[in-house]
Amino acid sequence: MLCQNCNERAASIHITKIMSGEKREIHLCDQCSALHEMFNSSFNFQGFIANLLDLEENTHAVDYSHSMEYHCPQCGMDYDTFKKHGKFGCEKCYETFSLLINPMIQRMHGKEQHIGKIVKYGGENIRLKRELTSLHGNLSLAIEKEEYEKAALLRDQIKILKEQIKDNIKS
Amino acid sequence: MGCNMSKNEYKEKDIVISSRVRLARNIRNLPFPIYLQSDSAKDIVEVVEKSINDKNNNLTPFNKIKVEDITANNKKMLVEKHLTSPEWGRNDHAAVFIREDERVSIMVNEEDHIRIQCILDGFQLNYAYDIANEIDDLLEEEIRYAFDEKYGYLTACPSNVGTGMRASVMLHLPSLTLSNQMNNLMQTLARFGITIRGIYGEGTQAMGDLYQISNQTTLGIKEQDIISNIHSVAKEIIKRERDLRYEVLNNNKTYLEDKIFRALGTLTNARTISVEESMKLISLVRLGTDLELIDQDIKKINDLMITIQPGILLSLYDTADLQSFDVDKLRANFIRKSLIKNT
Ligand SMILES: [Zn+2]
Ligand SMILES: [Zn+2]
Repeated sequence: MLCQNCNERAASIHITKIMSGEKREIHLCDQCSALHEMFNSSFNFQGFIANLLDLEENTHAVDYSHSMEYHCPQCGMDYDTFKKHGKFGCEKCYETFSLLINPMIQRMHGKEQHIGKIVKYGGENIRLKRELTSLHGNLSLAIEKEEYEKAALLRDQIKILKEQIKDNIKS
Repeated sequence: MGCNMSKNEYKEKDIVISSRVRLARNIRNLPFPIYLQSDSAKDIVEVVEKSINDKNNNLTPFNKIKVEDITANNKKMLVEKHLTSPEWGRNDHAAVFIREDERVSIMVNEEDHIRIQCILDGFQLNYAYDIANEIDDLLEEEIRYAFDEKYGYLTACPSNVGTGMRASVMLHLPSLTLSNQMNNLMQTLARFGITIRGIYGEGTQAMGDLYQISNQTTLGIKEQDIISNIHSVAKEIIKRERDLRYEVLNNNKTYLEDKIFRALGTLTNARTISVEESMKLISLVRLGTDLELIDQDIKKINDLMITIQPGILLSLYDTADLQSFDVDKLRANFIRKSLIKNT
């Protein structure tokens, strides 16, 4: 069966929806189902997250059999409660359930690494690490173009930056 | 340059009603609002109040409204004005700070601890982001946000993680709606990570042919790119809508005029009218105004579309006994007064 939204990929998620007393079946592919909630305000978001998680549990290598044992040490949230409500209890939940939710978040956003604004306080090392990544990029480029003087310079900069990051972690 | 930009954005006012940017933020080391103790919830309201009322910040004054202090109808009114959400009204410890001009609101203890929102007339997403971002920076002077290197700003719902940002524009698309092109458009946009949905309505049936276009994803994309994506998609839709308007005007003027003048006739004569019917007819009058078939003020019509919503309409009448009011009759009177020119 083809996905009802894109008519391109095979439908892998089948959602039953009650609309004004009428039962309706919706068939979507992975990608489109991830886009579906925000697409339609009357869509049930909690059900949507549960569907995504079901999908991960069935298709991924992550072992969900011990998921019941996970409890957030800060707010007490367990995996089943999160799955039911689709919302976390605190910031620590992201860490607690990371193994179980990372694939779901990636499916939802199509990306897995934040590249936007960084907090002003406490974000210093993240800023430096981003700089480091871009320096590494420039270094590969310089080597590729055989600009060895430039590469040497970049290596020095990278070394300084790495020291700085280490110092920040210590203090 | 900056001046040119705002002039260009202003030019789209025939189709773009408003631009909105919302940032979701949470405070480090505190559970999200659903698990929050009432003392901590009150502390958050206080710290936000302190940040924005600081004498040194030169901000336009904000008014504080607490959920526990307002009537059910006023909650409804705030939602209709897009200043709060239905969810906000369900949390007893929630509060909102609303800038005096009602362009900026800061919801506290909704789904997330803090939601900063700026809503401006016309096509001004960049400016709306600048304002929201400035308040974000200001709050950070007093608050430490929950933030993660990988996932960015941590939010109660994983669908907001990363930038925590939702940017949207509200468009008036009567011609695309009349020609049944909206469903197609919705499906195309979903593939680009952009959502389009009807305003004030359930599902795909948009009231008053108003639609909101917004970003679906918030992680792995820069704030500026979210804005420019919405910008370019909106521009494309605006062009299609405008082309279609003139196509109908050139090929089928009598048909269009008839629809528009009948709508005006009903609105200026009705003695009782529902929201649904008014929105449908006002949409046609707005189209007629833009095409200069009728002489009305577009800004006034935009306001009318908002003011006739039940919560806002009732809030204009100062009475304790709202039960005895016939809302549909009030609405018909209000619309007649707005559209019929005195003298
Ligand atoms: Zn699909
Ligand atoms: Zn937690």
